[in-house]
Amino acid sequence: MLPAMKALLTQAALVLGLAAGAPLAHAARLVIWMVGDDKTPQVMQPAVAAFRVAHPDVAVEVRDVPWADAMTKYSAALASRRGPDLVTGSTSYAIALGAKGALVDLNQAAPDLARQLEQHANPGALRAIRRPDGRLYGAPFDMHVQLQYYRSDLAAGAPADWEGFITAARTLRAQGHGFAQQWGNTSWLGFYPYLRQAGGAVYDTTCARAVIDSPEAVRALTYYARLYRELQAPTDGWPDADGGLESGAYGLMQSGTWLLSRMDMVHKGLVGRWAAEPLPVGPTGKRTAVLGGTVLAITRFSPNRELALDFMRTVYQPEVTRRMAEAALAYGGMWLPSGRQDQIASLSLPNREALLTQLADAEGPPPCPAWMRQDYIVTRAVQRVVLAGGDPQAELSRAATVMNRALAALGAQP
Amino acid sequence: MIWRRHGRDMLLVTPFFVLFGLFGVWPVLRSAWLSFTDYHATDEPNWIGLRNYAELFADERFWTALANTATYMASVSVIAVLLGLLLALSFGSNSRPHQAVRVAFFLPAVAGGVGAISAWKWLANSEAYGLFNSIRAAIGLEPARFLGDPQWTMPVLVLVGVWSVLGYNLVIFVAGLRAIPEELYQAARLDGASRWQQLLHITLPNLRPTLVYVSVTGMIASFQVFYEPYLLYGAVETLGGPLDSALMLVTYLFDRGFRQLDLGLASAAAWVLTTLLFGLTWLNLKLVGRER
Repeated sequence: MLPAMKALLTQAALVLGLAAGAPLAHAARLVIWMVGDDKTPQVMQPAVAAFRVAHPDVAVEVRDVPWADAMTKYSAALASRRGPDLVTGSTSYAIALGAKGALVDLNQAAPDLARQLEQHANPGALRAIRRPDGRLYGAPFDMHVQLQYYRSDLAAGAPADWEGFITAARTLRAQGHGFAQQWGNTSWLGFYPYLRQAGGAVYDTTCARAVIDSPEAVRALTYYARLYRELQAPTDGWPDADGGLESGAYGLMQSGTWLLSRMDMVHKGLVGRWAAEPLPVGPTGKRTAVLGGTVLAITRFSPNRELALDFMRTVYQPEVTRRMAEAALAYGGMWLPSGRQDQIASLSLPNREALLTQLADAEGPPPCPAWMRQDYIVTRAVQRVVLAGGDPQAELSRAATVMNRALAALGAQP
Repeated sequence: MIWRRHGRDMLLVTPFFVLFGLFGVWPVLRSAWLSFTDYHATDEPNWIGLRNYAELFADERFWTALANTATYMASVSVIAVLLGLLLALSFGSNSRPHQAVRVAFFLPAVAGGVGAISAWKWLANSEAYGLFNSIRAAIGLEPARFLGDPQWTMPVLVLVGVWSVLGYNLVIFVAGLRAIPEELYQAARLDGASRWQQLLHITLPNLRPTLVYVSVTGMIASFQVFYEPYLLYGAVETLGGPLDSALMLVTYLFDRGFRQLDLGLASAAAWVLTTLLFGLTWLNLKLVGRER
């Protein structure tokens, strides 16, 4: 009995000792979780270095969280109230977390930072994160928009407008080179640019009513369906469009700006044979693209709120932001600072003109708390039209009815 | 007295029970309680009675997920059991070729996971280089959108599901077949029983415990399917694939719990899932028990 008791007591002492010793490791420690891959934390290193000049006694730990795990890890951390001090996450998710009271309102906690963002952030990125009541549960951190990519050895240039696009894609298709949409294919995200280009929206400005059944939305969905009916675009969730561009299966495609820095690296056969342009303009003269990306936010349970705010102020210093973007380019990534869009022009980026043009006309997802619960309804309407041949007017009306019924039940919380 | 006789034994098993209680029993009880609360991880749970269950049963997507899961479970369970049994009867000996076949079928159980599903995604790709479409092209058929057409979703998922469990079922059935006394077959042959009669009257009745085990564990695993549909059809902005044809109960639970932060409702969904599994297992055991 004695040896067993001894072993147990030793283990218990070890566990208690480790638990007691842990908090002694650092006097102050800032923990940052970033969605992305193992290279993503490299982007933050210039900010960490600059922050530690002002706060030499504070340890900063930056961890990457894979996109697939982010929601579970963040939820677990929030439930335990011992999560990271700062997080990056998708815009929609940040809005959802903010609505549940998990994030700090920057308007209240750091009005100076909020004012700075107002001046320098990408307007679309800021609109996407700011709630209708003015609360700001995070700062735009980085962004991606959609662009059209094409084989420059097969087509003279990119199509300029909706009808020009169909004509150009048909011509390429007759030569054996199809069209593919990659980011957001057959979902709300793929449809959203066309909705905005047509002058439509998902909700009204107060987020109290869904207006997805407007004539503009019907026009947009009718056009979007033509990409699949007439151009036979693939309907997979994420077609290998860049691979297809290299093989010649596609002559024209739409995807995100991350490909700008990766295309030549991943597809050697495409070097010198591709180009990127902004999306074609829609009937309202707008070429709006979806603005995706991440938001930097402070968790409500952070014991280091002031330090975290100081860190955010550091991130949005122009010199630091530029070094962060350069750090991403150094490893072949692309980090476009949505909080300091003014710095993008000074960066050495591929296809910069196309990128800047598109960034000037980009919108994030609707900044409404109900959106995360309702995005699938729009996706279902889009898919019923694209995949099952449904009527755009009927499907969008049905979607609006379902969304408005749910909004009414929720009390149309803004 | 009991402590004196069994004190050391009880002390030695205490860590197991502590850990089991902490990480096994407590989360289950906590989840049952959470299913009656409005809980979003950020604030304390708020008791709301049966409202989560009412919302769950009123959600059209829940029923879609349930129907998809039931179809998947029934298809994979039946096909994997029948094929596994057929393969075990055909390749159950100790000969080298039979061993090689068993190894080949068991490999997916070892090599499964995210990598294998990524390979399936590549095979079923709609592009011309997808293996399935290459085969279709070779026999003069138009390419199919295996990952982008709701009509193909279930066949693809069932194929992947059967592929991943077939080897496991085969090995269990071989073990079950070898446990049947050879004397029974010898006696039957002396009595002039055909191979078909031996199968019906000796093999299947003696294999019933194995059949029950394989069926029940297969059903439970199929009902909990998550990463196959998630990896094959999920995207950042949608989890259910084309027209929610790949939306399963666990995917739905994940969506509501971790994407929308409705952890109370997700707990209710988890308990519905658990209740269904209990019911199915009970029914299965009851049917087999009655036949006995």
